[in-house]
Amino acid sequence: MSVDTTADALPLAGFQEHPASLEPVSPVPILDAIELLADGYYEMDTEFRYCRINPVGLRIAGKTADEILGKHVLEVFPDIAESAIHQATVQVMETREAASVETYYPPHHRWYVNSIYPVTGGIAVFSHDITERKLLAHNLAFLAEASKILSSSLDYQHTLRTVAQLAVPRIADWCAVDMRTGPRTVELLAIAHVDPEKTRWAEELRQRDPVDLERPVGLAKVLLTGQPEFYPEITDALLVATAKDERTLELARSLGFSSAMIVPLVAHETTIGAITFVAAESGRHYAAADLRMAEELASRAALAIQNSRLYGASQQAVAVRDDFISAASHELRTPVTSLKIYTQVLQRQAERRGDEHTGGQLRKMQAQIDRLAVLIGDLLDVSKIEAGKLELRHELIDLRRLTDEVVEAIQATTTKHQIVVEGTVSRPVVGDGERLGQVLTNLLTNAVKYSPQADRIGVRLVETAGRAIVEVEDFGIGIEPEHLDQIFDRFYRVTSEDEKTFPGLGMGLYISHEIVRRHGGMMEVTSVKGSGTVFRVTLPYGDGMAPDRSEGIQ
Amino acid sequence: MTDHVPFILVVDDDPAILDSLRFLFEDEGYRVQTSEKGEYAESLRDENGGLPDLIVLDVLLSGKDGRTICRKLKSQDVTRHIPIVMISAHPDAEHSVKEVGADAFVAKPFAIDEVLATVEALLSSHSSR
Repeated sequence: MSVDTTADALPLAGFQEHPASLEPVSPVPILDAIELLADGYYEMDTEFRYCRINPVGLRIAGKTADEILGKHVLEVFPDIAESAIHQATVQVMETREAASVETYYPPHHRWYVNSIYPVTGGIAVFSHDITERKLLAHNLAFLAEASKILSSSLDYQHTLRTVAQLAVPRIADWCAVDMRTGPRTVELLAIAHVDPEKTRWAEELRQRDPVDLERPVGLAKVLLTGQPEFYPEITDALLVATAKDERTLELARSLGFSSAMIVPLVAHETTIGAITFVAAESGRHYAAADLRMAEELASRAALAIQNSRLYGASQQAVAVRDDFISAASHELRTPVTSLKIYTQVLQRQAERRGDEHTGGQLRKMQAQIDRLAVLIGDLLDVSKIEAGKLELRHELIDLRRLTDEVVEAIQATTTKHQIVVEGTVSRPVVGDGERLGQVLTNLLTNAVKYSPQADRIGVRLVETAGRAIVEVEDFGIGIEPEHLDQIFDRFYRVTSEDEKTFPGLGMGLYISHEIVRRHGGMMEVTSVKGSGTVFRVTLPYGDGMAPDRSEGIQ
Repeated sequence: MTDHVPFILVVDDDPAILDSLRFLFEDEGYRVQTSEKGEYAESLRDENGGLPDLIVLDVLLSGKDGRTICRKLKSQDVTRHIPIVMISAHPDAEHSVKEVGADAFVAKPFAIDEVLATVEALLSSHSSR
């Protein structure tokens, strides 16, 4: 804080705009007016001796007329020789040009604008109190900074501690944040004082002497009623009235509290806590404007707390869901495993005895079980990706061979489409062959699924200087441009009239995209609605990289 | 191969898996013993020709880790020679089962051809020693 500690600072004010009004029309009314002025007013002769001062001027100076009148300024205020107000006075005396200087007067915690005018035989000074304006600006600056902190993080405990720290000593000598943790319990979330020693002491004190919600005074009252408590002036009588016992009264007296305000933190119409501002050693007294600022801060803090709690709850819900998906996919695997074994054995037995009809039905049954198994596998993969537990092997892969294997398997599932592979990539890529195979399987399965009217699916392998590219192209229904951005999002499903016949859970492309991304590659899509879609996978080469049996390509 | 009918022990905590694997292996002409408990496999003794020729062992048994059993079987003289195929619904378990000495790993749900091929290969390589 840049302050001018000019102890006398007998400021003057108000009339800068109309210096002409100093021209006495009639000496008597002016004299009366000056005596009644709300601003301080004094005059000095050319020898810097006080020759006149009004009652407000005396109050600001903290002197009697006898102590001031006829005396040299430095005799009355020996410490101010270097002060801005004195320098300005000297300057006006010499130059005979009016000047204005702002001063802060610590004993009263007040700011003044001092307007110094040359007058016949010396100078005249008006001191106008600008404390309210100053505090307002000060409070607004604090509020802006505190709001920035509150919105900087969802960790409200951390942000509220930071705000409490910020409040001292700018707004208060003590600042505390209390949260209700139960019907009868209150937790001191943060307490700040410029002296960390005092902070520790206060924390210990609160542990020994917790807030008693059965005694509705002060903080407890605010927490119970949701209404602020405002003590512009803390008198001894007030301390006596609110102290729990003799010991706490002694303690309160020793701290020298001068003013305090306690504002509730209200979220969803419930008082969840309170912020306490206390002035002590500064001797400051809070005004209505300070209370308004504190209430505004509290409402912003409550909003931040609410957001943070909602975020926490949503994160927890997501975690519960992911745990459930993970557990469910494991649980589902077991019956599918035995079901698959029974069906396969039955099918073999049917084939062995030449019962083609039963064998054919069992084969269809198996295809459905396999579909179920893939869905369960996808669910498990999604939960692994979410938990960051998707493990990848690190091996050198012949992309052409992998593509051919997958194409052969998918070709076997469709009689309508001819899958045509063009080009090749001779350099190996590095990664998990099984997972990359899963990506190609997913893209080709989709290509078949979404091009029921087409008879061809194209697969192109391109070896560029820096990367290997695999493209899968279908000539099917295509994707609307507005869906393209989200097509790789988890559980995203294209919903439009003609897609209703293509059910899915929105997992395959998400998993594929994640697998490719974690290989250091890229997956892109281009599509023209009604004429087809191209998925393009770009992968880095693995030349020169030692294959590694371990997992975990990040 | 001799006339000896290979004897397979299957350990899994799910009765339906045990039953279906018994169905599979018996259909293939093997002799099968099933157990839901890991303790049975751990306390195998070579009595009355009671040792299996191969063990199919689940990784996660209720209250017991199949890998611990595998490690133990592979560390004692009487059972060290028995090939062990570990199975799991966690495909990522493959790496960890190799570390405890399992001879093969098959992820659930499996194609029976894969299981049978694995079992056959292990039985023939072990019996030919």
